[in-house]
Amino acid sequence: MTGRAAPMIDCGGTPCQTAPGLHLCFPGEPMAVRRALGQVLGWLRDDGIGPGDCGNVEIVLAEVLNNITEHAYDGGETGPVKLSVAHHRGELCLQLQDQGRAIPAIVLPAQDATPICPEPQDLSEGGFGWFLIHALTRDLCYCRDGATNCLKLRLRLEDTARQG
Amino acid sequence: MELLTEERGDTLLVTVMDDRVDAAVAIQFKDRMRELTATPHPRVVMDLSRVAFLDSSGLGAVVAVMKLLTPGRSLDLAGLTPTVAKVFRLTRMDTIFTIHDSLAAALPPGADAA
Repeated sequence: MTGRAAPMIDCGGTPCQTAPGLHLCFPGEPMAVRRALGQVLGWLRDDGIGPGDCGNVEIVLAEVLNNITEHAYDGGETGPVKLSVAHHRGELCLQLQDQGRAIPAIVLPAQDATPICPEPQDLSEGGFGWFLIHALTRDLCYCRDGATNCLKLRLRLEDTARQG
Repeated sequence: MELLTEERGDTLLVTVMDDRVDAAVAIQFKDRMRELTATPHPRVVMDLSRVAFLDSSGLGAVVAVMKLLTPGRSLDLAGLTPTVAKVFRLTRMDTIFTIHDSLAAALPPGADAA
């Protein structure tokens, strides 16, 4: 399920190093997302990434991929998802491309760090996804090139020994 | 989505056997939990020690289960694994739910299995 290296689209953020790295292409549906996450985690562990950092990547990627399958492709025809993962200078770079609908601008800015905790009966059952993405990524960059969404995220490695 | 239930005194123990509670199974999880918790037990304990990963869909489903319980019934969580615990901590849901380090800590001593 590997594809070509994802082309770099400069959307003003610092570009990721995409090669060498892991490159996957898979359909935007839940079981394929699970398999892709498994492949990413195996690659990270083989690369010496520590369990805490692996957990952070799993959380971020699961949320981003859920957004793609549920909102970008929105229950209609699903489409391909291209995912690249690179490990570079103490950071992990994730790049995702899909052919779904554009991300609404309202979810993109980093949100207030403190979620509101109302009475239990009033608790929201949703909306946690983007909060988790922002909480765990150093920065993210989104752009749309024609019909393609491109999302780049960077995570700082916290518990992985710095590689010389 | 495999959920096992067991009665421990006035506590309904629900063991989640799947290793992921995520977008792929969140709806089934919520529906199955609704069925299983339609009992008189005032206390429900959910054993999550076999769950390696839970995303925001899974979190939303656990919140929905808590809201489904009628007033006066409680939902406690036990045995959160590291990544699952991190999701609860980051979203501050660890202040909403009573979370026990282990199943033994969640269950009252001397309450025998049915």
